[in-house]
Amino acid sequence: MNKRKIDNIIEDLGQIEFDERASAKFKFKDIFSKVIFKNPSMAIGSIMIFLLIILAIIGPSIAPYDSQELNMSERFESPSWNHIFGTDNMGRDIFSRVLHGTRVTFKIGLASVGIGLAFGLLIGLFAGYSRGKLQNVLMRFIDILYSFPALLIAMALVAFLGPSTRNLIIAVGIASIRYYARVTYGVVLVERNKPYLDAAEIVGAGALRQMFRHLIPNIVPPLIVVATLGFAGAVLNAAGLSFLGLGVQPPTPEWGLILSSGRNYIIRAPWLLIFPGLAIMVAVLSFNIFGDGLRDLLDPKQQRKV
Amino acid sequence: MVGKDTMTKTNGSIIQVSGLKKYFPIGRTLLGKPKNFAHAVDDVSFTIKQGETLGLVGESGSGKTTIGRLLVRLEKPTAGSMLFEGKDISLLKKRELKPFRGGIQMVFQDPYSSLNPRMKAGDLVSEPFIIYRKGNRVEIKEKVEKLFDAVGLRKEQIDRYSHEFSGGQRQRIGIARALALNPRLIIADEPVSALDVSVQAQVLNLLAELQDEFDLSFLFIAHDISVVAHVSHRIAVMYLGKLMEVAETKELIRHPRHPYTESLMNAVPIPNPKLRRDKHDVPQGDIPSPINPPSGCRFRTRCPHAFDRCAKEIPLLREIESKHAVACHLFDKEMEDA
Repeated sequence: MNKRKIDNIIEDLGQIEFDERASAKFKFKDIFSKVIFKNPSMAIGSIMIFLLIILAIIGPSIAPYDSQELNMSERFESPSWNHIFGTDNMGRDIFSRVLHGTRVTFKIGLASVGIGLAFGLLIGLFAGYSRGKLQNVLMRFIDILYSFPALLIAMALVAFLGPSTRNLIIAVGIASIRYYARVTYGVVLVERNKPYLDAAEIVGAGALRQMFRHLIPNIVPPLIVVATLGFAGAVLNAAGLSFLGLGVQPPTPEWGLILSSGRNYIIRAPWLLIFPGLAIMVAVLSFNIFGDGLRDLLDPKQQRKV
Repeated sequence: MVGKDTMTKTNGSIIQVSGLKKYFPIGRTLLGKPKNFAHAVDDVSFTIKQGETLGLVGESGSGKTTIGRLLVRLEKPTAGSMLFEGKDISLLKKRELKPFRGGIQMVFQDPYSSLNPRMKAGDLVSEPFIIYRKGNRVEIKEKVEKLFDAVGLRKEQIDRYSHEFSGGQRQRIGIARALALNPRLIIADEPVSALDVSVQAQVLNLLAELQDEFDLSFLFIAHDISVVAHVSHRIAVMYLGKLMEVAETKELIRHPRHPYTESLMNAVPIPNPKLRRDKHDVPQGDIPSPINPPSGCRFRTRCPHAFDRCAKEIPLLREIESKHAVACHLFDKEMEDA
């Protein structure tokens, strides 16, 4: 690294403001300076998420055992060097199953957040931009969704569609649409009155162009925060549904499902529940911490108050 | 391109506004009917000639910004007509309006919020070309560079985000964007009031240069009569949704006739404490609410010369001398006496 580059970085460090405008030129090298130095919760959260992602990618290949391999001679073994998380009622290695489960969990989390975010963003965007009848129809629909617990909506959907991983993703995703729609709607209402949209209108930009080219880039930062926190919620909901038998079906190693199948042995073999439970907790916690840090970063006012 | 026919039809005027009204609904009853209306613009008529700058002054709340927004059709007028190059644009729907958009452009007051913070300067300026499909990528890039040059920005700045610019530079970006579609009329809504005094002059001079270069007409909206006088050929004084006085700049400055114009002139600060004016010469109190404007003459509640007729009858804007129109009963009396 030459001296000029270092100077640039030092200069950048000096210029960084926790400010909406500054985040518009979010560069890669800023990620380290902004995140690690200025915001410990984001540093911790991002390291944890990074490790989880690594595990989700390479986990299955470094797992010591096959996640579905039965071994009746090693049932209910307590944690040891051979099976560091112990084994379950069919002699399967819990550590390997939890590792495999990381990937399943990420898949469910990402896909359901994707569904919720995509539809929620569109509903909130159209409702916030249009004003008038469409706004009322869309937001009253969201209000109705808000009058049921998310888990109940997801359960009803899975019960209707039939339990499977794919349907679980759809159900959890649909149940979270309202959440993203509300946030998008709120942000759009604020952005809607800014003169840059008038400026776009005057040079001939139609409604779609104003929404997708002008509004969306301005509402993405708060939505990233919401999506991060929403990911934690989705993981939890998915685990909950799987625990109830309405989600991922055995023998797929999903954390909620491992937890559920171990619940009969809670006294005899508590490690069956402790380790998948811990995994869920770590995943949810790290996304929550990361999301909180991200919010501080993108919302300077709130941060300075603390 | 203005054909000769339209030129003769419109007497060399670029826009003719007559009887323009805008009432904003205030509050709604359960049945969705508005409870009240704010009379933001109430029966305003004026014309702007080709290549002319018309200054529009008034206090905040006088409706001057609403007039600007009506002319670019960000708002739909309640009544009245706006003939732009002979064609009435007051009732056009959004889609029908598209071909006319380029002809009337606007420079905004706040150079910070009027530029999308997530777009690069070059993208902002090239957007009108993309919307109107004017050329391929290379041609558009050339046009954008030309515009940057015309408003005094450097080509290297094309790839910068708007927050990397100063207020004056941002206003230049806004001006470049407004120029993109070859406008004939530019609405400048307080284009310098958000800028430092040193930068104000630069931007005003730039607008004057561009006016000569592109043969532009301006509607220059400001609350500061000294700024308006600096750039305008004619000045229209507005109060609570109505025009009070319209005259050529020199005439208006030297012989303000309407009591409101007089008090506005008195409000201009003089940089000499010895010449400090009597307090009573500047308008007292606040502008009344446009929801329930005073009967008769709207200025009567603050006018030092008000008499009983002012409360009963709305004074009409009439020429009392050539090219000097005033809406005030004082001058009707004079004319009757004469």
